[in-house]
Amino acid sequence: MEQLEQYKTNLISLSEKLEKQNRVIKSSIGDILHDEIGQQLTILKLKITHLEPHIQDKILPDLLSIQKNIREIAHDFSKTQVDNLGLITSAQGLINEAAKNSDISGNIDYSIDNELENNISFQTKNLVLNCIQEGLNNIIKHSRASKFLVTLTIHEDNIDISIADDGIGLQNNFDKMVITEETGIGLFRIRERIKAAKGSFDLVDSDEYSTVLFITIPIGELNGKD
Amino acid sequence: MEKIKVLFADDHNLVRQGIIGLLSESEDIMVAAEGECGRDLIEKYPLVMPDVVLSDITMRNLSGFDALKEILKTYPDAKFLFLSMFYSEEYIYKIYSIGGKGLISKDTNVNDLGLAINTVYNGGYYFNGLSDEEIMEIIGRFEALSNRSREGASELSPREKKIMRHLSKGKSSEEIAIEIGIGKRSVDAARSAIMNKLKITTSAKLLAHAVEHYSVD
Repeated sequence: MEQLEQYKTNLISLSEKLEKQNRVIKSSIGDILHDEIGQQLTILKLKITHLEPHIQDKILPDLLSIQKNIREIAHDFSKTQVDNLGLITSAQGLINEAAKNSDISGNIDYSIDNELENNISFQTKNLVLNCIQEGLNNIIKHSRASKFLVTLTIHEDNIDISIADDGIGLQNNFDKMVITEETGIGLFRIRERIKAAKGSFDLVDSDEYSTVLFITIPIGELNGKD
Repeated sequence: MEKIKVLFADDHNLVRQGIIGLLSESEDIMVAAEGECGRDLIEKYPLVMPDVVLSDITMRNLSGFDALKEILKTYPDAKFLFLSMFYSEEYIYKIYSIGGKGLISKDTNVNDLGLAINTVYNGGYYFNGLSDEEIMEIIGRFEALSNRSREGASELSPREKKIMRHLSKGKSSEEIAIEIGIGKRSVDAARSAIMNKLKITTSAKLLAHAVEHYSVD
């Protein structure tokens, strides 16, 4: 009897692991579909618009239909934690981890209209969280700060993220776009992704913190409102 | 003795059958109905009126969290215990904050699952065997992240007040940037910070607030 129960428990555990693995694979397929194939299709569509109208008419409807399918599959495949937890709790989770793993005290300020949050795609939410994660990694590794503050503001057309700390600052190296001990490679990678999403990424002045990364990500761009 | 009536949903058939199998050996718990998504929970809750809802989090159609929010609107005493492969601290906080009673890992055994269901049934919280103190410590830590207790956390800085005075005159970020000698993006960042501090969610409300409180004339 005991052995039978053990088998049942093992079976559940194994099938859960399988399911978890499935999700990881699906999620990365979703990202590839969206970030690479989706972008290539957009470029292709732009190229086609330069062709003769009668040729365009033959190709464009099929292309649009493929694009739509890819987008739906990508979204379907990309359901992970942020869908469960929402943007704020996910961000709080990152800040909680960062504060716990360092001696730096962290806070988050946000003003978010729930309805607006519902309109944001998984990809955009994920990018927002990746930005926060990289910003925090940078603070923990390089800033020698004693406190940091993350703010998250959802506007109708864009999301503003600021990641501020009272540490040594990364102004000089950042301006020269040199990857150094102080800046790290993570932020540069993020900056490229923000650029691809037609967002902006800057170091801004503040009278309260020595370093403030200010990021704006348009909501429509990654939501496929094209 | 009447058994504890459980309504159970999981979209993974093998897991569902496995858990039902485990619970079928329990002396004080019975699975009264099962489903494979949040919609099933919403549909079956009024029919079954379960003592405890045992639910997966991520499910097709409607998640367990969304089902909980919906059911609580009509049945505020509903007791939800989540069964999931996710059990990090943010999940504990999320479940607590939306009115759930517990979380147990799917790698569980019949004893722990029985204990979790009994604890939730008796009005307690069960989060993977953590003590009440540990649970409250996590909740407190998460709440503190967002409710800065330090003095003046919601007060505007001198520069922010200056920006509000300019905003009240209807000036754009570009104009304000030139006026006070900082970059436009710094003005944008300050506007966002102000909105967060004042818990304002739209630019229109920000402008109205600026006009009401920071007009110089």
